[in-house]
Amino acid sequence: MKILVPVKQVAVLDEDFELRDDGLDADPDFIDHESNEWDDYSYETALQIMEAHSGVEVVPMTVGPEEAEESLRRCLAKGGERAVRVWDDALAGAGPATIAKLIAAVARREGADMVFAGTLSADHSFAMTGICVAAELAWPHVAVVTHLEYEPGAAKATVQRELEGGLVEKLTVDCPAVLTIQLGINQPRYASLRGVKQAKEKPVDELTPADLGVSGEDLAASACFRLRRMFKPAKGQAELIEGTAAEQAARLATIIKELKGAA
Amino acid sequence: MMPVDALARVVANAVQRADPFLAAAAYAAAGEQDRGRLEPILLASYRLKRQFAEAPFAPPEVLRRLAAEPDRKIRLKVARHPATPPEVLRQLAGEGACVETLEAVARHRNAPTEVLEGMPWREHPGVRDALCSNPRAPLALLRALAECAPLAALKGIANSPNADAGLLARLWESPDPYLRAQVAAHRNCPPAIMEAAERDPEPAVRRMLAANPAASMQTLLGLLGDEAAEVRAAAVQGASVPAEELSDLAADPSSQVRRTEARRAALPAAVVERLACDPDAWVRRWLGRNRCVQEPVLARLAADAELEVRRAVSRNPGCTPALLDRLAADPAAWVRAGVALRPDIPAGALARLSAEEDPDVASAIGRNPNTAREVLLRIAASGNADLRRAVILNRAAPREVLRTLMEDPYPLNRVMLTEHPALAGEDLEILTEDPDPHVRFAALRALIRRGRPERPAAAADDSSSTTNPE
Repeated sequence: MKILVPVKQVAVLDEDFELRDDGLDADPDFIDHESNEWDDYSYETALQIMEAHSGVEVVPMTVGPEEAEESLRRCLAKGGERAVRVWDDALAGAGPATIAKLIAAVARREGADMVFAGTLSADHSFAMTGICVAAELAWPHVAVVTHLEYEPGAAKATVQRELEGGLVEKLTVDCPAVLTIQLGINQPRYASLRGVKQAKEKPVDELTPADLGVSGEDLAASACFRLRRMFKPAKGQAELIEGTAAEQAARLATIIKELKGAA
Repeated sequence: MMPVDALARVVANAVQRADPFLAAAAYAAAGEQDRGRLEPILLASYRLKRQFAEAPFAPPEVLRRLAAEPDRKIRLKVARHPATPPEVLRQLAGEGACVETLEAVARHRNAPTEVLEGMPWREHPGVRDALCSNPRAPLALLRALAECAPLAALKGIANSPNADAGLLARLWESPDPYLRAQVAAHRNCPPAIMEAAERDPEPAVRRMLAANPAASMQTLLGLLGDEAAEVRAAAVQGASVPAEELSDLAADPSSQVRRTEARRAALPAAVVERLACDPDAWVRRWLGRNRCVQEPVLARLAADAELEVRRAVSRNPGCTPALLDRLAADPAAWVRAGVALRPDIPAGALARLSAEEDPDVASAIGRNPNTAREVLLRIAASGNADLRRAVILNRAAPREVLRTLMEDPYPLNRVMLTEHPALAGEDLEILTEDPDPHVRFAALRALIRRGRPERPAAAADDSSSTTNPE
């Protein structure tokens, strides 16, 4: 029984960031990277199932360049024996539907029985990659899972989701399925130093879309939107009006006159 | 100072591993030539420069080097860094500095006085307002700023320790009650203004006057009868208020006043008795922590229905061993944890509490300097990172226990471990190989601070520790 856990290395912007010359993203000099917080929880969910049952394998995977391997090593330091990284330079800037196509291809190749993804990524917040994976695989899915009861090999899993007002929805889902995991479902562990050292030696399979049988045309067809521009909106013109009540009223009157074009 | 050979080894190690975090720690202690070897690692990319320029742990020497970078944003980050030394701020504020950098220097607590005096504040309102909030701004500059600063910035001037009576008198003329309140709270507030403030219609002004440590006993006594509860509460804190004046306040209708009174030093016995029966639990809680409260009242508070009151008693330095013994058997773990934190805990209570598994109690036992080594070892092996950190924070924890925490899975715990005096130099050297860059930095910095790896302090050492190879 195999659980595939897609993880992502997310971008963290410096407060004084600048945009790239093409206006489509932030300048890489102003970006730091870290593992996506939601993925810590989805990976922990998979590890807990692996540790509670024999014969369960957990495989972390990512779609990202060489630097993204750090996120996989971080997962492997906690548990799991191997990982998968998919990349081609043509994938730079790929949207969630394109990434999902590749994750689904890895799930097929690995013969995964379940896919646990994070609910969303901290940088782009699309919250749709996991759902798109389910669509690609034609598997059922449940989003924003806060509790999971699942026996490996079982035909159904029981999950809970948190709704507005603290209401909890409990439902069953046919397996195999894609679940997107919400923060707080568990307490993710820290990797031991021994685990960190061992993770350096664990294999990471490096694949291209072509290795997965996904052509450039397939990827182009899966793009469901096109990024036109990224920009910092102009700052608001709020003004803190100070002084006595009379002074404040006078300033307010001046502003109103200015807006009406009378001043 | 670190011996030359040890420093050379540290630098060589940082260079050989091309580790920017080790390089940053070594840079602080290195000489000119070694710094030249470390800089290509430390400044290898724009991202690294940016990260170090805003890192809270960045050594001043690294900030000094970054201030020489041509990039405006890097220099701005250095100007905003709280550890940037005065001479670097002087350099940053020099010719060609952008307005944002000037603002950052004008606001900086390390900025030299003459740099603040030379700032072009008349041309730049942001620089002017930043200077108004800088406690190092000299009086002459404050006077000039007060001529044209907006109201919000004037409040900064009224808060400055360098504002004199004359300047405060000018600010007092403002119609804004909050500016007048700042003036009334100032140590240099002239007596005439204090008198006027006592009659000010705004409670905020009278409250701030009551909180002024320079307010006279006469002023405070007048404010104790104020109609506003917040003014009476501020006045009751005044150290110059005689104890006999406090009796009536113990029956004040406002719990805010009684809570404040319960925190005061040197309360008369009758006031203590009255406050101990107060219906407000916060009053009893503050009283339970008050050092002037004696045994019979403490014993009564130790039996209070509110667990926070009992916890307060357990933290009171005046709590007797007999009372501590009683509180060590309290049904609430939070109260027992209060006892477990005390260095003067009776031996029997320590033994009983050492066997507990409640996280609050175990954490307190982990920090207690009297806890037995085997108990510390057990807590150090806990699955709870907070409990393990309690042992790291225990300055009396022996090296034998601390060594088990060198592989703590939580990186912050390992960073904190590097500061422990009982850890030997050779242990720190091992931690400079840690996978986490912050641990490596902290370990090398600790090693350099020690001058040379040496035997840990005798009191905290264990018999099996070895001397370092140097």
